[in-house]
This record gives sequence, structure tokens and C-alpha cells, in this order.
Amino acid sequence: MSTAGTALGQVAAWRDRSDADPRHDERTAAILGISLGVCFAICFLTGLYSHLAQHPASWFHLPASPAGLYRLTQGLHVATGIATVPLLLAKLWAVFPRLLAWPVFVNVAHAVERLALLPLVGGALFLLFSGVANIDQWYPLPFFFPTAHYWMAWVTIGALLVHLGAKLPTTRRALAPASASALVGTEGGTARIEPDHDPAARRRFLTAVGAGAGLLTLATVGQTIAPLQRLALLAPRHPDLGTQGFPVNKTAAEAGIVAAAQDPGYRLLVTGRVTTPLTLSLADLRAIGLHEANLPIACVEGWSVTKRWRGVRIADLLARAGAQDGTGVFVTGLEQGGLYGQSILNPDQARSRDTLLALEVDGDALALDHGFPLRLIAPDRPGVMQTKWVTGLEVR
Amino acid sequence: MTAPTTERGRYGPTFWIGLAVGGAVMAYGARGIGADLGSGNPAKLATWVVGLDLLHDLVVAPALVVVGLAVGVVLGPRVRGPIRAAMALTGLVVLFSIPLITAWGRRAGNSSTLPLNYAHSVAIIVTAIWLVALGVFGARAWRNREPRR
Repeated sequence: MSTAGTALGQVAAWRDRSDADPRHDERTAAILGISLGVCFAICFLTGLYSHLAQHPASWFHLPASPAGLYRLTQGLHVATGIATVPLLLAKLWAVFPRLLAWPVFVNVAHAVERLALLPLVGGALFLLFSGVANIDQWYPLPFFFPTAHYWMAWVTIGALLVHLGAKLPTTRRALAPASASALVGTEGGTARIEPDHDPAARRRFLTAVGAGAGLLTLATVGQTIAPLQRLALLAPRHPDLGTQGFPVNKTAAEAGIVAAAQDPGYRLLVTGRVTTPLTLSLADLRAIGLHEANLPIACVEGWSVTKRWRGVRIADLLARAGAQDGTGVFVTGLEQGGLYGQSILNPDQARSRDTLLALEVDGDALALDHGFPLRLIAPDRPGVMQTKWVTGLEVR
Repeated sequence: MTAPTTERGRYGPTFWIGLAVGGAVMAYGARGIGADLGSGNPAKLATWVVGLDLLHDLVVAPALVVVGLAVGVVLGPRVRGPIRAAMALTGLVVLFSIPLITAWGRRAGNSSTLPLNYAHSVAIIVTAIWLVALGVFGARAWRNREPRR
């Protein structure tokens, strides 16, 4: 027999023996399934919040407080996604024998249930792969990551709901106290553990899975939780490393604005629905009065850090220009051609006392890579919406 | 595994409710992919999704089974548990770290992208994993030692 044939034979024999293996029974699958369901629900809801923050809907406004809300939701999104990697791999390994069950389906409903596994498993793998690649700044996909990640999340959550509906009775039975000790294996729950299968195997297996989730979490979550920074050995960003001691997503050179940002003739324009349009130099802005705010800069990729910013309140500029209450602000910067050279402030955020056009960070003038001469910094916003190299405020 | 016959294929109301709601959510997502991802890209996305699924089911999972069986053949029952766990955790850490170690996403001129020595990080973590595995093995051996006469 060929090597491949021998390997297949071993896999088939392993499948048959797995009936009596607690690591592959319904209870293990149910425990991992619930854990995954919780993780995917957290990722979906926090991802939805991030999507709405970047693509405001008519019925949704980003609140201006608490200031660290986006930092929390997006940190949770990325940390949970990372912890989900070992959970998903363990779940797929636990139910792998069932994939090999024969016949493939027994009726139309069963075929539909199994067919829905394709978008569920493939979608889950895609979301985790693309998400991890994105935080690593690696883009092997031949299409736009955020769009694919967002819409595939809907498909995957839909497939998860189908799976949940199909498996709910099985899960309830598997987690019932009576099934905890003796019943394993089949969906009928009638097989008994063979003497050579240790019931503690499930506990040890789940402990190892938990160790994997904990290990990856500890090795990365320091990119947003400061006290754990020293453990962040696998964090793609380090909150203390970068120009002026914190990370940069797009440098001035990458944005192609080096010369324009250093132009001595720099002016900020305040236009739109105002009674007095303004044209202000940096000296004019300083004369208006600078204020301080301790605000996090929280990236969609999961890293975040709180900094002490100093700049002009946008509310002061709006008052000086005679903007009406209830108006929002379209913020534009020097960066051309990208998606993140501009952003929108809703009325609440525009008038927050902490929403600044910052000139300084931690007591120093902003570096070019962090948005010199002016950058937007406002509470509860994704980092990509904290527009750098700001040149215009259009009141809308 | 033989096909269980007692309940397989029987579906109650939760299945049909899940199918209706989940199917609608999936359809919403599919519509978004078709509308927003750009011409030709939905097929590419489907290729990635199906490809990752097949990669797991046809390559990764069978390979894990074979490796797990091989470890079982080579090592005794007391050793194989910690060794298997350590191997799985090592594989997980290495798999997760491939884009970090290769630094595919590192950009010249931006020192804050992938700023650490990740090969060094992986070496530290993997060493810690195997030290713990060794500790677990040692603890088990101590518990199961022959009593002195």
C-alpha cells in the first residue's frame, strides 16, 4: 500500500476510534461552540460599531463620550479575534471526525445544514486570516480588505445562526449534567466511553486550548493595555515605539505631503454654513487660545495609547465663525487620493470640549508624521478618522 | 465514524427559525459583497473562502491527525499528552507569527510597523512552552513514582 494510502487508512481508523474519545464528543464540541459563538458575537458587534463609526448611518451618531469607548470596542475586537484563532482550530479538530461521517447527508434538511458549514467554516477562517494579516500590515488579498472583511462577517454570522438553530437541541443535551460523565460520541448520545478513554482527556484538551488562547492574548494585548506592554512579544505595534514615542500609520512621506505641510504660507480655512469664514495662520490659532486634553489615539488595527494633546478647540473656531448649532464639520487635510485624508465630525463631537486641532503632543510640537502642523484629535473615534495635516473645516 | 441514525436528519423548529433568520443575514451579506466589492472580486473572495476551508479540511486537519497518531506510536502514554500539547501550542505560535517573522508588512521609513524582533519573541515563547511541558511531565512522573520500600 502506498504511503498516502496508509495515511488515509490511519485517518479512517482514527475517525472510527474517535466515537469514544471525549475530545471529539458532543460536549467538547458544545463547549468550544459556545465559546466561539460568544467570541464571534463580540467581534461582530464591535466590528459593526467600528464600521458605523467610519460610515455613519442616518440613525447612528458616534457619541463624544466616553472618550475611550472606541479604544475599548476595537481593542476588544482585535484581542477577541486573536483569541479566537486557537478556539476555531480546536473546534474544527474536535468535530473533524464528523466531517468524515458517511453518508454525507440523509435528507434535504441535513444537506442544507451541512452546506451551511461551508460559509461558516470558510468564512470564519477568512475573517481570522484577513484580520490577522491586516493588523500585521500584510495585504495578500486581491480586493479591499475592509469591505471584504465587513460583508463576509455578515455571511459568517448568518451561517452561524443557521448552525445554532440546527445544533441548539444537541448543545442543550450535551451540556445537561447527565451527559457530563458518561455519554459521548454520537448524536443519539447512546455510546459509552470505552475503558481505555480517560474522561479527563476533555479537561486536559480544553485546558490546552485555553492556554493557547491565553498565550496569544497575553503576547499581543499589551498593544492596547499599557500594563501588559512588556509581555507583548507578538504585538504588531508597540504603543511606545514610533516617532515621538507612539506608532504612525501613514508617514508624511507616504502621504506625499512633506513639502506642503512645511509651507510657511500654511493657512486653516473655516468655511461652509458660517456667517464669518475664517482664514487662520498658526500664529492666529495660538492667539485664539490652546487647551489640553488627554485622549487616546485608537487604531482600527487594535493598538491604542493615551497622549496629552494641546490645540485649539474646534468649538471655539465654530463659535468664532458663527456656525449654527446642530451643524457637523467636514475636516479635510493635505493628503490627496486616499480614503483617510478627510473625515466628518458629527455635531456632538464637533462641540466637545476635548475635540481639538492639535499643535502639540506631550509638550512637543507635532512631528510631521503625526500631522504637523495641525491634526484632529477627538474623543471616541477611530485613529484613521483623526485626520492629519488639517487644512480645512467645512461646516455642514 | 458511522452515521448516527437516531436523530440525524430530524430537525425541530429551532432549525427552521435559524435557517430563515440566518439565511436572510447571509443573503444581506452576499448582496453587500456583490454590490461593494467591485467587479470580479466576489468570485475571488469565494475562492479564498472555499480555498481556506479546503486547505484546512484536506491538508491541515489530516496532517494534524497523522502527526498526533505518530506521537502516540513513538511516545508512551505518560509523555504523549504534554508533548502533544506543547507541539500544538508551538505550531499555533509559529503559525500566528509567520507574517511577523517574515515582516511582509514592514514598510521602509516607518519604524513603528512590526517594530520587534519577532523571531526572538517566538524563541522565548516556544522555550517557555516546552519548559512548562517538561514541568508537567516531571510533576506527573513524581506523582506516579514507585514508593520506596
